[in-house]
Amino acid sequence: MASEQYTQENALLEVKELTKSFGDTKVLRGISFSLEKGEVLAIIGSSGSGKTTLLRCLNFLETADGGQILVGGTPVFDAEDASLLLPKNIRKNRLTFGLVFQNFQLFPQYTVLQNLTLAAVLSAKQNNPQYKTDKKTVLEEIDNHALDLLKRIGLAEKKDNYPCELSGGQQQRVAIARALMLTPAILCFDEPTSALDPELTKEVLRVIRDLKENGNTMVVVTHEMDFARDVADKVIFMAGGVIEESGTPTEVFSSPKSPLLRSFLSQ
Amino acid sequence: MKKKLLTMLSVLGTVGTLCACTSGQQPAGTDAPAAASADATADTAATDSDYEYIKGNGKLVIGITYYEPMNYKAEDGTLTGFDTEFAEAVCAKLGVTPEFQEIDWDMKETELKSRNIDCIWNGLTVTEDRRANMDFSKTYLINKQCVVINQENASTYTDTASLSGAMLSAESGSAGETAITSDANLSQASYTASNSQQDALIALNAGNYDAIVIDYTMALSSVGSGDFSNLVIVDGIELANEEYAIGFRTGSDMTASVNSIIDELIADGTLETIASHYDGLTDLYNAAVK
Amino acid sequence: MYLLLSSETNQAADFLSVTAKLAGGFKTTLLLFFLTLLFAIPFGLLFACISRMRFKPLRYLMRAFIYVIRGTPLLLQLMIVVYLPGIALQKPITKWEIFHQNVPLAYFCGALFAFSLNYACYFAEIFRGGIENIPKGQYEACEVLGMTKTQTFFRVILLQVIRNIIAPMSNEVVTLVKDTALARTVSVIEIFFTASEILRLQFIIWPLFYTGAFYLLFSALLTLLFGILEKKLSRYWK
Repeated sequence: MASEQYTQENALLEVKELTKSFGDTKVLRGISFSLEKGEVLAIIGSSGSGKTTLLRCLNFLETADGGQILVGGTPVFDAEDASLLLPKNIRKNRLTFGLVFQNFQLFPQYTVLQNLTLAAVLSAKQNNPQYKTDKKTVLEEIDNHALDLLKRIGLAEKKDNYPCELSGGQQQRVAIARALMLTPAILCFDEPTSALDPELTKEVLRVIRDLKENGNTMVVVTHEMDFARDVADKVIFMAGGVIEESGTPTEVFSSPKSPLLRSFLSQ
Repeated sequence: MKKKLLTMLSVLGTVGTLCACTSGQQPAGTDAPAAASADATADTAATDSDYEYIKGNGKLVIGITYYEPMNYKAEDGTLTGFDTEFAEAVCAKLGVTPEFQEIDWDMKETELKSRNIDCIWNGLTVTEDRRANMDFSKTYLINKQCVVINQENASTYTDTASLSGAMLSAESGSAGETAITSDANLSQASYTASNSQQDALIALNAGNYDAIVIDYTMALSSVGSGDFSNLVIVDGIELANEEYAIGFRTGSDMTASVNSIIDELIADGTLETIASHYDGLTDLYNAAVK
Repeated sequence: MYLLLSSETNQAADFLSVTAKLAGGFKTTLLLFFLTLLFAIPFGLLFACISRMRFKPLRYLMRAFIYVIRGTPLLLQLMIVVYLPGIALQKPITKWEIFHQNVPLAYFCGALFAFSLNYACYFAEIFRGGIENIPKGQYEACEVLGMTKTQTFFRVILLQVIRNIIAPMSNEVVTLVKDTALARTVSVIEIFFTASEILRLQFIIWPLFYTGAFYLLFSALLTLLFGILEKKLSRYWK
């Protein structure tokens, strides 16, 4: 498993002085934090605070202007190191991270099972030498892996359904399983429940809790304060492109120091 | 109201003849046998003097279809045209009133024999097929077909033989097309039908064709002017011409009476004056009369 | 009784011979239709891609070209293709070596060129709209799953684009069936030309209206086909 190749000496994820501007607007003004293996980081803040941009930088959907991202002590992004920005290196390094979108973004023309296996099959076709000699076994392994994940999120019986036949909560659970297919070291969530009503929110949060118990390392951008308090090991409060305050959930939620955080929490 | 009644009566008459006529529903275009079988009616009609019959009626019923420049409605709604003016002039000399009756062109022989009309005067082309079913007056116009080419080819294309390897066009279904297919040399050439005479002219101008065959009047009015200034008519090529004449009942003595009136109108210049009222018709008139 | 029978058989023969003649013309109509689709679809895709390119000069040139073609009548474009080479360049289309003096072939190819270009531009706009309507998130979902751009387009985006464009394409394709009638102006002997010819030679008008039955039948077939396709695709979407 990808997550096991990293030694314990370093933090699993280290972000150093990340900056990003869109035109004249500085969206990230030097973000630094670290995360140990198996920890859950919750990022909170009002809209426009830069939290989604931070997540997108981690997933290489945006390229940061400055700073570094290290995973297990190895840089996967360095604004100074052009070789890391080569498309083939980005393609390799981005698989360190998984991303679950706010609007699920399942592929509508594929069944639940196919949504999970598509990327894995395409990758095996290109990178796994066994695919040429023993295609059947490779595909079977991928299928079994996908079915295992579907069982874990409790949707095994929906494997042949199309996304439009599922509820929003079920779709988001499938999206989580799809992100787990490529065994990322760090799984990121971009407001995973904001498109769902409260009842459906619960089932998605239950899956995320379950993942934590299994030792998955996660970064969750969220509006769900109760969830952040409950599940997160660390909380970061962002405002105006900087980390305004960070700490354990107890520190952040029970004794907030920054006035901005206090007013944010009182909303 | 009176006119409506008249139309209805003529329709009834047509239906009557249709029933009497064995092959009245022959496909259009092969109208020769349609009238041949109705000869009996025509013969009985001609035993008495047709001339006296018409004089007695005081009017000459003329079968027409509306088309320019022969018989058509002017902007103010009155019927005009070369054949209209011509017929009026002839009737004045005959001492009868002309009455113009619109007919179904495919039914013209039947209309004539049933005496719904007394003559067909509508740019009627003289053909051997038609001669079997009616008598023709003397030819009063000749609609010539002519070959038009680009000026720079004037020394190459001088006669039909030199055109036998050329690319030709004419309006599909036109007299020009017939002229090409019936000419020994031109029928050897590569032929493509055009949508209209104008299209043929544009394509010739573009060099898509080496030569086209169009109406002489059309050629006269277009060749040499505007963007067609580089086009010329090939002199001295004789193609199958269309002769226009008036159609009367077979054996009718009207033919001779009208022919002598036409001679008078030609002699006193009346017909030439009428022709000059319409573009290009003077040439057709000259071709027929001089 | 005999009279009635004989006249009926005459009419029937007439009807059959006219049908046969029109069917002959309709073969050309269909040939023009299918070949136009064959060329216009890939070129439309190419034009759509160029009009979405990051390289601005080419993108604007492409968009301007599409604007000009969509903003002028197909009839005019037909005339330009068939007449302009001769008038402006002294190279009449019928005398190009590739056509070996075959005038009908030259005209058909000219018409096919104009039709293909015209429809490629209409298709390009439909394709562009179809592509631009795909949520950005679909591309990003593929991206974070490590898929290449080619894989993303062919495995995920294309079918969604097809679904997006199926309704406007169905419209455009049925319009093409009817537009083929314009080819008669440049001497392509399609069904309408054939009917006009019957009118001019035999002075019967009804074959002109009878062509409508051919167009209608074929349009109905296409509409049915597109309906089935649309239904198949809607299996995946709400």
